[in-house]
Amino acid sequence: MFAQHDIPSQGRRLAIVGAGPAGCYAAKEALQAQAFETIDVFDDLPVPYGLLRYGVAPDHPRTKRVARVLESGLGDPRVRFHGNVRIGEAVKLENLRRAYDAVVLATGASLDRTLGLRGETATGVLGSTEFVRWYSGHPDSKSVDLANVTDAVVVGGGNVALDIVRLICVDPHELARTDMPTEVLDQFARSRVERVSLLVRGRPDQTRFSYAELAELAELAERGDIEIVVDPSELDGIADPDDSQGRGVLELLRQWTVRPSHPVRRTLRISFQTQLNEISGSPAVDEVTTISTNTVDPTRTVHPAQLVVTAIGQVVGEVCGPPCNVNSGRISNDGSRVRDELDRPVPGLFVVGWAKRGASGALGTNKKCAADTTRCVLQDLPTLPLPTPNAIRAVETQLNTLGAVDWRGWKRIESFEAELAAVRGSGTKTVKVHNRQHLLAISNPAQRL
Amino acid sequence: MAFVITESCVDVMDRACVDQCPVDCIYDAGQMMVIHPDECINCGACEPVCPQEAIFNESLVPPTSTEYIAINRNSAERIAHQLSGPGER
Repeated sequence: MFAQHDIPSQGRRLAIVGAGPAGCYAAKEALQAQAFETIDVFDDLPVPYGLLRYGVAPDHPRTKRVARVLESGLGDPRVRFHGNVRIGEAVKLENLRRAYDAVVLATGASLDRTLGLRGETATGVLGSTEFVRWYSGHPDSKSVDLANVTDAVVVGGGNVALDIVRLICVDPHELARTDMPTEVLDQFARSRVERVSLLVRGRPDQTRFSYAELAELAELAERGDIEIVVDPSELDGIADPDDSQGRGVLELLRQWTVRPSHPVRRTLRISFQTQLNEISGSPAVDEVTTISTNTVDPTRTVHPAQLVVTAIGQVVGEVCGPPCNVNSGRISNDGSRVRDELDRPVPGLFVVGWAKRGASGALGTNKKCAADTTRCVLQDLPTLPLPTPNAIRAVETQLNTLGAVDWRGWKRIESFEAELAAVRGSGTKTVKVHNRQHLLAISNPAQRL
Repeated sequence: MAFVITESCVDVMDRACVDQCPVDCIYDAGQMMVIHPDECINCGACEPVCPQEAIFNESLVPPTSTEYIAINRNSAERIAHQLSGPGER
């Protein structure tokens, strides 16, 4: 790594805002550098791991194993976790900056991009984050009612859209083997969805689907859970892309242009070069109009729909306070260092993960990203003003009164969720608790909430 | 399923993939890097960063390179075993 002999770690304090993958990898990097005496990681939620817990699909337990790696950073005795602390509200960012040598923002990008259609505010029209948070048991999510949905429309050409489609289509018995909260499982069990339509704006060779994700849909079709339909004309004249992933994706899509004849519970139709043009119904959506642009004359089609989920990307929404500002969907930065509204570097304020790069890239991308950010922190550290004892005392006092969830509190939640899994008895190792007050009560048994 | 490193890595070993792997499942097998298929979480972060384009999803490995699926598994298991030391795990 890099030599740290010239920087004494004594008294050096690092704050990381956000305990998702990017924040945890940043904590790991900071530990390795041995440049800090204090490493504090804050999160709005009472629980750590961000999108690993509330973004990675529940039926992807293999991916969730990354938690072990993140735990080796966040769970290190030299790191303090402060859950249920909203930086920007409970603790102002400026006060945090005075109390630490450096602050790293790992706050992600969780605001859904919208299509800009008038009907988008109707009941039953959701952004991907809302839908994914719901099925992941996020404490701030609203319940989704699938009992009255027969026709669902999902918009998007990436893996988030595929996750959503797969979870709507899969046999709910399969979901019992996941960590889904029981309330969510019940909703999927009551689902009356018969037809799912996936609308992709680009051509079949322009999607951001990964082969592995699309192959999971193929497995559902092989099991007879769904029938997948792709209009053969969609693939006319589409040449094989250069990369193996793209070729694999096209190979699967070609299989689905041949209609199987056996009856199935659900049909998934994938349409390319198709956009959502109109959402109608009030207060709840009942119909959508799509436009296909793969022909000379664009064709408009009206479909019934009681659920519409748009998975067309995310951007940084709120920032935790000035001097941060949002530019092109991320916190303004010059590749790790935050820049203010006048594009001046802000000393001691750094950014990592989606907040820095925008909402794209695999989980692993965060590791390299955190290494880059940490390198900048270490470069700047000798020139940064020291935190003042008063500022440190002020923040410590605040943290004591806020009832933050510490690492031990999180471990209590983790054990509780393992006990719930034993009760479910379906082979899952954990079942999530959905409710924030409940999470807080479990984390601190001494305090009756 | 896992990702697999194929022959274009041999004697090149750029290691860009190692920096990306979130679970540290890519091992140095001497002449090439290999992926431990039981540790790989299939996230795909390694694939686009390989300057040799040596990394493939297991089911997309070109027919001429399929022997590397076993090479990755055997080498990675051996190295992981050596690293964890005898008697452990």
